[in-house]
Amino acid sequence: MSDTEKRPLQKIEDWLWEIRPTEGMKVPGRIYATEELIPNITSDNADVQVANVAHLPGILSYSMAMPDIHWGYGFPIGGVAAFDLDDGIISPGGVGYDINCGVRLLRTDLTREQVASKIDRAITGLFREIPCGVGLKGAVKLNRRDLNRVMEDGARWAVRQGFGSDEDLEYIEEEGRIQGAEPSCISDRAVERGSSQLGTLGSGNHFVEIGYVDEIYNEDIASVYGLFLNQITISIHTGSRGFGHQICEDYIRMFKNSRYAKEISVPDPQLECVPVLSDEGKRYYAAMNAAVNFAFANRQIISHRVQEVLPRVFEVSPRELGLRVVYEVAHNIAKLEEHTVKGRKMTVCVHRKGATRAFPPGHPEIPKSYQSVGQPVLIPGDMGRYSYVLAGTEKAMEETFGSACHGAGRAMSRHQAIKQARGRSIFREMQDAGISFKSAGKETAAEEMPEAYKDVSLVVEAVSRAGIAKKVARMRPLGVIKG
Amino acid sequence: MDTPFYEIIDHTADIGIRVFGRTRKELFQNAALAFFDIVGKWGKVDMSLVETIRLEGTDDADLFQRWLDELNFLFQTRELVFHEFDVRFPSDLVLEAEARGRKLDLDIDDVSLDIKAVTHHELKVEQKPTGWHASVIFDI
Repeated sequence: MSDTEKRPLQKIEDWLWEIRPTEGMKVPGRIYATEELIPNITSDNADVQVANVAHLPGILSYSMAMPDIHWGYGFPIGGVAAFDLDDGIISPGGVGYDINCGVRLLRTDLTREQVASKIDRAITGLFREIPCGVGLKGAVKLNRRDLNRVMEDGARWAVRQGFGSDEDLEYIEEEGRIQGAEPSCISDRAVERGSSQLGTLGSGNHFVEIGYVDEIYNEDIASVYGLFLNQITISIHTGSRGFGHQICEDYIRMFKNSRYAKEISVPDPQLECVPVLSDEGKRYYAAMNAAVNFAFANRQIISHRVQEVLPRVFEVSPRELGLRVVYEVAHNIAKLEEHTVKGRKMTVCVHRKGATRAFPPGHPEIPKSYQSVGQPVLIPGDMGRYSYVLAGTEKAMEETFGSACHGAGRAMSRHQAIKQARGRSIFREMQDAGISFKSAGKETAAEEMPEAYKDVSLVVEAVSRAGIAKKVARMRPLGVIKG
Repeated sequence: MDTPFYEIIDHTADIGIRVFGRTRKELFQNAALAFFDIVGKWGKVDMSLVETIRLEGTDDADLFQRWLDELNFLFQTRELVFHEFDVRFPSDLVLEAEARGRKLDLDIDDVSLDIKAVTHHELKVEQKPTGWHASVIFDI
């Protein structure tokens, strides 16, 4: 842990707490959380990490944390930090190992009643067609040239190969392809990992989930997003796999060995960083974007598998299924975005690690059809309870560089969860709750059981009260596949 | 070994290990055994495949991290599972090793952990009068 002392949190509002700057902090820390979430945040020293990030050169406004904040490597998970381009830094720790881990939400024209008896079959079908867990079987194997294309074109490359359609792209952050990826910035090791893992789900908290909309909080926005009560939805949660993990590791190592490691003083060695506009910074940004595009392609391929499986198992035509992308978001990423800071419009480098972009109505970067209501913000919960769809707001633009939370975070370790599950059949408990479950690993059910996670509704309530995202709809799970 | 050569560092989101060895060679070998012990349960022990590994590091901790990182890479990307290790240090910051094992077989193997990265957090390698001690956290 760092040398930074614990500093008291000052309440600003019921949903907002501040860490006043003391020696070394260039800006205050700000934590978006309701009072009941605070003990959890301070108990694992995530608040200390928020204060540590505030030491970094060029940080703007505040070192921020969302209500789902928890301890991470250097930067906390659930953190948002934006940096001035001229004198600010970029850091792989501010993005995370799983670059562009994110969520895609798909909607259908089907209702829960229409397919309730077919969910088991659907989960079996998805589990068979979507590679999950460890192992390379079923992945889309790539030669170097194809991998380069994936790095540069992301989901667009996948569509050209026949995975999904052009219509999907508009509903993905960055339209599924971010500019600025550079294959020459990728190590051979990352290339080897990327060549053999595209189109795979991974493990841990990654999943494909069939759910249904069980509550609508805002009819107008839900209608624009194409959501209705009892509608069958599908969520996909995964990232850039070993490709992204390797890129993060490669650049952590490069930054540790760069001259900036001595020049930039940081309170925690895991805040290794370099100036955004340095050679090293530009290389990391270019490599990170390659991983961002890989993850977009990855989710596009998995989404296509869903499209292939569901008509067959639900016994409907693709047209009757009506599968469409509602939206897809990244929650581990660093982006160059235009924001207004102290009345001045400027391009900044926003790090979101376990945080989601939440752009407001009228923002040019969100789909045309969503301009009137704002960008969908997708918040997955655990496999037993619920997930949420929110909408971005102007307040998020003003306060959090257009950012909101990303999920719930774990409440207990895998080891504790397995212990707690002893003598129980989590698989049967899920079944009794009406949720069909399949996983590659034997222990996954216990490790990922609902009580191993915090309650995401508390996180969503906090961002909603803070006004940085608006509640639109809630979904409940009917079936889940995991690694 | 009679006494456990490693213990788990329990972590809400991730997992770590504390490893012990009487010598530096034993520490690195034990760390590798611990790695495969926590990653899965293997259906059979088969040493027919031998992988030769050579790494350089900047210090003990760095070499230790690179060693486990290499094993994770071989497991994740080449689907190799190892049961036995012979580690040598031809010079202070150079590691050479033979790792003996086989290809992963998901029909008989049960993988419990998908390690994203061998982190640099709480990464320590120390020589004490009792022997060599190390700790490392894995991002999962």
